[in-house]
Amino acid sequence: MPTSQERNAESRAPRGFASVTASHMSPSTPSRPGNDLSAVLAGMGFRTVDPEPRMEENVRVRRGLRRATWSAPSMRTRVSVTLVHPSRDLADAAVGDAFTELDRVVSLLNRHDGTSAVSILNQRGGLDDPPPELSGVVRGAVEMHRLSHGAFDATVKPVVDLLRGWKLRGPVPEADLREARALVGMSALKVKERSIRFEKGGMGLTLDGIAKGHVVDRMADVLLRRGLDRWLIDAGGDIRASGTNAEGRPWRIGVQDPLKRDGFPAVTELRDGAIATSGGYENFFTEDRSVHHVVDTATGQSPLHTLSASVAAPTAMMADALATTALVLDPARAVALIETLPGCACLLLGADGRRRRSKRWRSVSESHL
Amino acid sequence: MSDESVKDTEGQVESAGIGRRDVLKALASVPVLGVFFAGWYEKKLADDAKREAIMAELGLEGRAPAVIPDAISRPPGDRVRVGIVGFGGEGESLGRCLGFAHPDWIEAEARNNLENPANRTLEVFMGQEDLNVSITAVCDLFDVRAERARAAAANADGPGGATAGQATRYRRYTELLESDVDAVVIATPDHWHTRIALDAVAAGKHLYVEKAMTRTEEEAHQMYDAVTASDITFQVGHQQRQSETHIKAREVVDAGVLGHVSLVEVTTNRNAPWGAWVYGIDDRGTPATIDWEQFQEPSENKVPFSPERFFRWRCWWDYGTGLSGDLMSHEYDAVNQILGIGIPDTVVSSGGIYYFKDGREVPDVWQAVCEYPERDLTLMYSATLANSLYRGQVFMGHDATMQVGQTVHVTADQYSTRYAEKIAGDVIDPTRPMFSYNPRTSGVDAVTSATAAYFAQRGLLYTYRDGKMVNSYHLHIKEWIDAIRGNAETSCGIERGFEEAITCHMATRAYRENRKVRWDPVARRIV
Repeated sequence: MPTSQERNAESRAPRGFASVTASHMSPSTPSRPGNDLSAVLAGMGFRTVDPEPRMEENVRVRRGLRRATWSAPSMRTRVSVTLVHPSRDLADAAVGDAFTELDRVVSLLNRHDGTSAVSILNQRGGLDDPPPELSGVVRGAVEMHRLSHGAFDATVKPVVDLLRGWKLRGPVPEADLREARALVGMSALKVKERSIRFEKGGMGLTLDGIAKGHVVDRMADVLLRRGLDRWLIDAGGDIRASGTNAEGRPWRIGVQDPLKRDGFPAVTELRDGAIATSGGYENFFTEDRSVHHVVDTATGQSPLHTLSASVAAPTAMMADALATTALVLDPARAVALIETLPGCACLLLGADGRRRRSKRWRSVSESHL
Repeated sequence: MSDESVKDTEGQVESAGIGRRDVLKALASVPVLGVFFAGWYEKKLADDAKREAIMAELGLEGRAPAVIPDAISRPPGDRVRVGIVGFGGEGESLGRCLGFAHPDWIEAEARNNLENPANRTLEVFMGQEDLNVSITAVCDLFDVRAERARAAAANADGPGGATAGQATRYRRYTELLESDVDAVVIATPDHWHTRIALDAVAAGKHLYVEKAMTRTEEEAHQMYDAVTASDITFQVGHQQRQSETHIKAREVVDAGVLGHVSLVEVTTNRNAPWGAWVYGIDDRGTPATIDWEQFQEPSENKVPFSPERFFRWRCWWDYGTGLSGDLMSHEYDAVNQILGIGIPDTVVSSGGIYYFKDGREVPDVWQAVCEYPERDLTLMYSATLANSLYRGQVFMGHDATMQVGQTVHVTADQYSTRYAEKIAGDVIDPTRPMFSYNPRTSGVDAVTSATAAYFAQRGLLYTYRDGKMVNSYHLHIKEWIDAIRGNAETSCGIERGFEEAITCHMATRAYRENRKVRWDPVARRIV
């Protein structure tokens, strides 16, 4: 028996999007080896980073109002766009354009893709005539380095790679760590009008702490250019939103519990702005999670004093970078820094159980799990 | 006749330092609850548009669980007149799921919400769909509960308020069956289920029977024969059938994610008096207010009036089957829903009274092992009433393990054949769930988190399926009402009920007869 949501979902699949409703796939689902399982699970509401088909649905919320939600795997997570609009066709078209922009920007910034501009930069140690997109993000990284007084450092790649390589093999030898740290430093990154260069061989750039936010902002630009004002973009927890949700209320954002218990430590609202969270609880290199993907360049170690740092900011790129920054910094310094930045607020969940909030942080609700 | 003890809410309203007036004032001042009540008065006008606005305010529009087709949008059909037999804890709960709560309960839950805003029991209740039913008849052997049932049926402050009215109290269920009720809810102790059901079927009444479906194997055959020969709509009260996680789990199994499942472990562990059926004894329950002789009428073992036996009947074989019918029945039915295993080939069981040495007859620590050789599968049930370690339901396949509870987690087995390549390639980490589903995370539009490496605990396209916001009992009884109107099928009809009953009776007999029992599928008898 078809479900209500199946009946309500009037799926379309432009631009290669497979149509997936609650429990079935359309014949247009791309067939890749081993993809059937992912597709079925995706249709059930599971999310994985194993390649999945893109999914879209467009449901009538009430008379004269629809909600279009599309999602697709990208940047090793899922990216989704929810748009509230009276017109099904316009909503689908706008969201489709946003995903086209996603693909375009990611193709330039994905360091896991050996052919991307940032990969070529890392391989060659320099890049002439870089795509404006890459230059823009790198300049953003430089600016965030300045704003964070050095805590945000996109040249930390050699250290992260070293730690990742030593995953489960015990402590990283001190000499190796020292050598990798010597390759870190934004001052050795030269960004000019028509070139990007590392001054030391072996240096590398990771845009993980900023690129996702940048991509979200570019997708937001597409929607804003169309004059759309009720949408939410979610790239694996980096979120930017505009206007109100389908119920006419500000978008409600749950802050993930780093310990993965049921419920959210806090729920906040987002109307026109962005929020991002950084933490070591999803991507770690040792079983005890003492070494994870965020590294303090001052020590070469992963910060452990803060389990989760959520930052609200005007743009997703700022929120993304500042969340990483706030995770790295001593909590008191992190809050002090965020409070100096216009339109920014933060909530830090400490390993000691303490919660620290900047003055502008507003929770709709908080629970102490 | 009554099911388990009612929590006595009368007299408690003033006890916590907050007066009735305070509660009512607070109801008006708490935004969410204010919306409920304002919304409800609008809904009373039977205006669909306004009803939709209420649901929108509750964030429930378009969020009907998938198991309830058109739960929000379909207009109610003809009003269904319901009679409830047994208004103990379970009967009162089912009454609320039909849309009718005792005023004391509403006040108590409003107070609970004020003291703890995270307690959303009242919100969930008020958000229920109006099923367009009336409770027109009630039958309970305890005067206090019978009057409580009538008060609930007449209470307009609830989602069923538009159809609230005066219910007639009957002292014998046969009189209730002679009334104009269309459908009957049986929420009595188990030893009454079959007798009432057989007469109800003969009277052409639709039936909702609480689990366990019957107390004995012979009764299961009788009920099966009667129901299958009739045209009535029948549902057994395994409300977990409506659980989102169970539905997801079934989809995982059907997708072949787990590989061959050879062992399923399910448990019920409790560690509190209520969990061991030591319910409060209402001091208003006396021979003058309880029809004790009628209570024990179907029982061969007649004893003098016993409040313990009346309020704590699950502790005696005369009225139920202990852990088997009360709790294993739920766990078995969940596995049956997810795997479709049917009746086992053999069952052995063991246990004893190891903690609650209070005069009870049924064990408080008990295990049953059900074998399905044709499926190369063992189902192991384990229960203690003296430890509350929660272990959920564990489905162990060659390729992956699935844990089902409030969430579903699927973790690849480190020696899986199917995932070997992905495990070796660090695509799948066998120490962490590959997939996870948590219906509780709905209620927000998005979750900000560190980027998930393999999964996120929410279903992107299921944000409008909020398992926490919808009472599964309500969904289950709604499904029954929908089926009565011809708009749905019951998910736990007589076939599934029969399988549950026979499996539990096999386990009970294996314990009581201290032997391995077998199901003869040809003779359809336990041997």
